[in-house]
Amino acid sequence: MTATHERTPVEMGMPVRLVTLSVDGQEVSVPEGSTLLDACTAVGEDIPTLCYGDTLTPKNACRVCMVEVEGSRVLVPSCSRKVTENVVVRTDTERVRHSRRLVLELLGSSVDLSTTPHVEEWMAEYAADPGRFGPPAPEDLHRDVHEPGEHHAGDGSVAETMEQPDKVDNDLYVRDYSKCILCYKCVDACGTQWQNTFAIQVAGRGFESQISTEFNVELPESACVYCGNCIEVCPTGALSFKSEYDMRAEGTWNEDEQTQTTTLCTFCGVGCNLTLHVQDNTIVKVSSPHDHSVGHGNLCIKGRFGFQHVQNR
Amino acid sequence: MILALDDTVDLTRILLRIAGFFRDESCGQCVPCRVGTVRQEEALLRIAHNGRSPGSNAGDILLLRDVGQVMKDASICGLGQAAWNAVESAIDRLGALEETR
Amino acid sequence: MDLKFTDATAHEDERDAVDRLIGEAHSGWYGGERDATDHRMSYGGHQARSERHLVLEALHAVNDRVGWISPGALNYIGRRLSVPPADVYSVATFYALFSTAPRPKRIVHVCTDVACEALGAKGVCDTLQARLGPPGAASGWKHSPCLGVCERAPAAMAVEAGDPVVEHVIAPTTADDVVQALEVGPATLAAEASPTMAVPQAGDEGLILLRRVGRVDPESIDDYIAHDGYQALDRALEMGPQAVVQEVIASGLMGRGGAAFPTGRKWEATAGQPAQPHYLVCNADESEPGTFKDRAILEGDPFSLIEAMTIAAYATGAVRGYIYLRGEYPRSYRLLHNALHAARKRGYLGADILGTGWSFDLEIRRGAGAYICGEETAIFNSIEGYRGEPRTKPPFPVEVGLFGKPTVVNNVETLVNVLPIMELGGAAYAQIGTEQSTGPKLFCISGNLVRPGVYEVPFGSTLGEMIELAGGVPEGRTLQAILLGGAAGSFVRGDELDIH
Repeated sequence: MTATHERTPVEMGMPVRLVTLSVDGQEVSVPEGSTLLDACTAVGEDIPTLCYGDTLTPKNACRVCMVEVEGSRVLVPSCSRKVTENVVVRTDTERVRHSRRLVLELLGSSVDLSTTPHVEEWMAEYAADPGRFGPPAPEDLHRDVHEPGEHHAGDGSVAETMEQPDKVDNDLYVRDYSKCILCYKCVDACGTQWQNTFAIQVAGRGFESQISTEFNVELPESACVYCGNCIEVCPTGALSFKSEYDMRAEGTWNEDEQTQTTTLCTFCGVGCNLTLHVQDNTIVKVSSPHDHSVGHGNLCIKGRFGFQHVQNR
Repeated sequence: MILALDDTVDLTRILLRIAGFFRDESCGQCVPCRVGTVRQEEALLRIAHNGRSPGSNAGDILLLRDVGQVMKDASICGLGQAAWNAVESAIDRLGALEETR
Repeated sequence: MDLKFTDATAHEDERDAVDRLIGEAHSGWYGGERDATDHRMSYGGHQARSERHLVLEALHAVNDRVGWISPGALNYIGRRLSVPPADVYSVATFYALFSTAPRPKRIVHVCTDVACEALGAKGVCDTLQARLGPPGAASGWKHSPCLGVCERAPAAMAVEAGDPVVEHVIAPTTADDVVQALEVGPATLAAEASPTMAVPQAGDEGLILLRRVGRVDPESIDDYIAHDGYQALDRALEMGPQAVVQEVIASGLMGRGGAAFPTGRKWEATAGQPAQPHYLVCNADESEPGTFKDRAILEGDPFSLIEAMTIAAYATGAVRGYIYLRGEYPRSYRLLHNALHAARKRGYLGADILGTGWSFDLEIRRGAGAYICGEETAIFNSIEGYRGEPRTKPPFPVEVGLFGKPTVVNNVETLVNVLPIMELGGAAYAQIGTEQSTGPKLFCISGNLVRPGVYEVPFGSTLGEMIELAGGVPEGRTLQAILLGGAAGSFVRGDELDIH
């Protein structure tokens, strides 16, 4: 693997102008077209992100990466806003911290974030208390019935959530939308940004929105081709390999004991890279490196799920 | 737009209707508005059910202010940014919901 | 496009509803019968994929005909327009006037919004709940946000799906009216009150924006012309596009949609964009609770909007305009539709307008029950056949708007102000109102008042003066509070009447 890498030509591209801005009082110059998030990262600021995906067009839906920009009436999503000359950005003001805390509280009170990386640290850092809105409402069995503009208002004694039954309708992957923050990344990966399969979209409106196939048909009836590129970009674990889902249910899933090996997919000649996640000498899931020039983290059903033969010992 | 309300109108019901309206009409794209409008309505429902004994709603009014602020600061569009205006003005200008500060 | 659909097929009337909108399907690639040649040759390509913008219209067609959108109908729409079924479903489930679950042909939307709430909607709903059961598809009646007939609150809108669909606004409504609409049909209800009822000042001297309401026949272009109609367009065509923009800048006209952006500057910025084509969108998705001024104009003087849009298009170089009308305004739709047809026939719209060599045309797009579509970028998504979700700004519409092209979005009230600017001249217009806020302004005044309605007042009047204009609260009552600006606005106390 390393040998091919060394022979890859370096892409020069067009010369890019640098834009200078200020982040928390530090002056920084970044290439034109960079985002505020890029600039913040360049000066070492660690901005939390959820709906941001390194291989996708920013949707700026989650609003956890908001920063303050001088002259702007409202806070600004750093993941999508492009840098402009001399703009003054602040990432740690009272207003920014309040916004981050509340977004984390709103998400934490409505979505199961137990498998979302970094959330625990952020909750602590911003002193978020998702429990303040009251005890969670019981599981909703009708989230896939859509009546936009209608909702049942209770008495406020419980906090509404995304809690709903898991969707286990095929042998390859599971959709646990109780963990869904509606970041749109799976929809974009399935749609025009990568796969062009269009199996899923956001259905319904407002808090009653759901990622869904048409009329909520099961995946085998839908346009899904099981490329698993939605799993690759899901930031919360709402989409997961059936193998991971089953192991978590059994209590045997243990990331500390897993190794990751990146290798070349052998099914065809395209040259996609696979990262095999192995626990107890068994492949438990497959991902793909996002920075690889062939697939950018995308695979097809064979690369993503066609690993059983390796384990036929 | 000017809506005149006389003394026969129950202001709490009007506030609940406005909160319900924003919850129904939020497109659901961004978190502050999608979840914030729900939490705003829930807090108003609690206050409506609690009655108005002095001080009993202080926690919920603080919560409304917090949620209102994040909707105003961090929503994508004007709907979320304005979803707390009416409730805020009812608390601050009308003294509705019996805040004890 | 090679799309995958479930096996559900459309019924005859569902197919017919869609075909009447977009024509017969010529091949399997367009959702028609697949024949032998279809397997060897593909048709459509980009052209087929460019039909996406008709999704909302096609959903309306089916919903109007059968009352709901079945899996088969949804598939047919997807096949005909080359749109994935999951996408059609995502659009159908975004809008409150559509149903993706079976429901009866007759549905009544009962307004429970602020103005109706203040005037007895709760009583109507309590009675309906006792007689028909809880609101929902099964019982045939549903709660609705503001229907925009606040001068006659409480209101309801009855719909009977069919060919043609019957839509009937009942205002003021009683529980008996709703039950009659459901049991016997909305067509049996008494005719809707005259649009002039929304304008208590109708016929008064000195009105500018509302001067024709109640005096002109809203169905007749001849009557419109007899009441000084199309003089503003004549004047604009004499001046030339740049001069029109300069005149609007000089008038100081600011957008009446809430953001109060200078209209002339918006036009100038769009006119100067090199990207082509340019579009013009009229935001007639008036959904702010308690607001019904657009309806007063659309129903009382519909040609004035069409004339104003023609001028706006001329000034900004737009080749096509869209009126995005809220789905809850059936009478406005009918009158606008008639007006467009008449204007086209007389050469005021279409190719080579009035022999100038300049061409422009307009179409109406109906919303389907989504307040958010009044947001200036959500409106683009809705017209383009997507969910009405707002886009991220920047880029702004003047650069990247409808179909990704430079677009002017103005609401109805802003646009009709262009007529007096053309007639009086920008400088004379600027004398009306105050220095910062020029021109006449329409106020929707409703709630517990003697004469609720749309009032035309110059900027600068106090709240107390306007409450007075509407007759004040009924005898023996006191003013408790006033909501300004709708659900997104703010309350003031009943004694804060000196506010401007």
